[in-house]
Amino acid sequence: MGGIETMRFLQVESERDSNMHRILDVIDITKTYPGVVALDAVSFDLYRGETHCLVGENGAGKSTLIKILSGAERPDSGEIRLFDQSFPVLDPNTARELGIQTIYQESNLVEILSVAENIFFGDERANRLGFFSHRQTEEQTRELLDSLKIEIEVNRLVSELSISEKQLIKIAKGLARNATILIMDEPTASLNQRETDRLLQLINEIKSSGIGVIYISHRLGEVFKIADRISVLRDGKKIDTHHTPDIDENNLILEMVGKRGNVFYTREAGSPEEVVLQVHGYKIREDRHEINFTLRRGEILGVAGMVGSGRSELMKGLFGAEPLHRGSLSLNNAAFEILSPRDAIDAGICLVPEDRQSEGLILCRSVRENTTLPGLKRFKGFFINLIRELEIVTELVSKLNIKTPSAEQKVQNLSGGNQQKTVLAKWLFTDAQILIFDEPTRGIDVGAKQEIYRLMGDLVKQGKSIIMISSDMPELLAMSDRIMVLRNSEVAGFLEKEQITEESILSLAIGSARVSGPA
Amino acid sequence: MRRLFQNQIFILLAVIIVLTIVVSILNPNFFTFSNLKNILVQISVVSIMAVGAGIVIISGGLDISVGSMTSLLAVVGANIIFNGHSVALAVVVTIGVALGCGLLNGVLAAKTNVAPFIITLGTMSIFMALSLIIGGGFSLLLAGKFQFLGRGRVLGVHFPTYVMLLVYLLFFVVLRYTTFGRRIYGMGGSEEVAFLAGLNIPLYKILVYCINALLVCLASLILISRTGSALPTVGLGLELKCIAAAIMGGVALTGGKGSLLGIFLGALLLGVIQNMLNILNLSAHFQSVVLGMVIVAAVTIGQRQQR
Repeated sequence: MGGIETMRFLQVESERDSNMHRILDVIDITKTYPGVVALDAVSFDLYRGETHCLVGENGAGKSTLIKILSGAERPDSGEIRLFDQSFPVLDPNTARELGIQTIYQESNLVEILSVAENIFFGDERANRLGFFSHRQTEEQTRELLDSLKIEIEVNRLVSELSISEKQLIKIAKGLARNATILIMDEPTASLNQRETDRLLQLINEIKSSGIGVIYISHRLGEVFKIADRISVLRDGKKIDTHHTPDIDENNLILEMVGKRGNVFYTREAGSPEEVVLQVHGYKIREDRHEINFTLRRGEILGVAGMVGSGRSELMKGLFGAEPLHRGSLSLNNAAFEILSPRDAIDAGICLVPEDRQSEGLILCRSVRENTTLPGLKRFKGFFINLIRELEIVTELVSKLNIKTPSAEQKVQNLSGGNQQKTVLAKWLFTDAQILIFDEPTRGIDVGAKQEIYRLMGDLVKQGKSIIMISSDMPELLAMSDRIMVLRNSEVAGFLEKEQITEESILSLAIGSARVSGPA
Repeated sequence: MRRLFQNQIFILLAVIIVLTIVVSILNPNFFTFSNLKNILVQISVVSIMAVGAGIVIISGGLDISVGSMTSLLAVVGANIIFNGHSVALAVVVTIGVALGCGLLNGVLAAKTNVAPFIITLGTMSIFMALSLIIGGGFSLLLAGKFQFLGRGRVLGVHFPTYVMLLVYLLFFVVLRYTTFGRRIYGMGGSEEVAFLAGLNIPLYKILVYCINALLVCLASLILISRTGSALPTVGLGLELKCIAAAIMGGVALTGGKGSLLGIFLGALLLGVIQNMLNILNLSAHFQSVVLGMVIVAAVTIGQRQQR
């Protein structure tokens, strides 16, 4: 054979080869919902043993694409090919039989059952007589968790697990089903750095057994760590697919956002003034050291630490929402006692909670009602001046740039970023002076994140003070004037602005050193 | 347009109108002014209790003791009048007993972690037992006293109808335009979020159960005035009817949703069906069967709308 023919022969061979290895291929998928085109002729494919990451802002169509791939939704047009077979109609059962496992952000674990029972839920191990076999269930679960190096007792009830532990179990559950394609939607949203790394390591191991992984994440650091290929969606269209080495973070963001955007938000340096809050002698746990810290006017105090280090517990305790071993608290040099959220709110302290859907907003009520709920006292007497209320709410909505058709819109219909802004609006309505944010931008797209950072910057410029709990390194680095690092329900140390680096934060959060700096 | 068809209020109105037309064809006596006035007075007791039931459910609770509470309050009130004391005394004492019942329900709901269903299941038995003890199991006849509340007429319309409309008007305003109303919806929508927003949850729970008890009290007084008597079993089944009326009216069992207009239409629908079954001369037992089926169907459809 001549040279050209050899080449053509090799070309055909490799095409056939790659077809064997291409386990998923969707072509020109379009999906519309009333009023919105969620996906517009999107094509996407996945090879055996590859990790293909999907990035894009919220609303770009990632979740819709996932739903179609797992059979939960049917596309309006387009072709779905799995393992070289065309599926004109794909339903969840077929998808599952083919080994497509999807792990969503919302929990699908049964809280009252144990870890082992959850892993094999729907696929129970039975003994010879056909009865449910505890022994087999536990043994096989233990094997699975050991192989994944997950150190969670198989008998523990899921309701007792932390968010990050539940996440690991969800993934293990997906793997227990002999997955061929693993789809993960923001799996590390609630994990700390160590657990995230472990997860990513897990995924790399999974790949070697031929499982294809589709991975959605906002955290570009992770994406670049594990992706073989990266696809960018924007406004329902696929912008491009890249082999990871061919692109960098800034250009990726350009594609995601469609306009020039900066990864790391740069906040203009704050100039904190006098001390507004002094916390002394609080303890997260009886057997731990006391926690003391101060907060200045105009300052953003970052609170770092691993998941489980007690950050949320401390702040919820300060807010009066959870019992805590109380010490003394003084606001503007006046002693205060906070025994309930009402006390905190009256003192001008507010909490933007970690879980906005279950702690921050009443989903079935409107933007207006959610915004004014903590501050109803502002309306003297029994009656609510509805006109005045609408004025104030409208003002807040426009100031915070909350995208909603009206103030009467039920908040469950808003996107994550706009929901978070509504939570912020409600605390601004109470004229809070000290705002505690617990993971302010979790699950929010890049555009809305920057908006929230800007809002936080504006608030402290106006003389308010912010305590910001965050597990997002870039966020901590960019936004904090000072950082308090918690470890194991105690303060591991404080970092002044010039001391703040990713390494210094991490070494305090997981190391054994203790820095006793200025509180 | 589609939104209209999914609107609970619209559906209720449509069903009521359709039923009215159907029955009027079968029996022209239905659509007469006097029969319509009858319907309004017949629903007065249940509809007033439905307001209370609705408010409790909207706030995130549930009170199934209202039927037995009615029996208790009826027996107490009737007893006092029967023994020759003034109507005013009867009213005052009954209100007092009602507040006691409401406080019992409310404090238990506010201070313990027990589900309201279980709490009021327990108090239901307590109230029933008390009513049997006080009433002695006999039927009390009022012999002509205390007539006006239940049987009086003003401008040709039964007095209870005015009371009912007043109650609805009052609570419509309260739920929609007051801070109290807002807090109730908030608490029912998510108790956790309301707590973190600074609401005094135990206080509002107690208030809500007490308001419910007072409304039950009002309904019981109307009841004994209308019937001129009080049987210890007079409240049987009322909790089913008033809760069903609220749920048919769009009040979500999960809390945080519901409107007074809806509750009224729910009670009205129940009343229309009952009246219809009477006019069609169906036996009382058959009526119960039909009513039960309607309630199940309506509640199912109503819950479907929530999703």
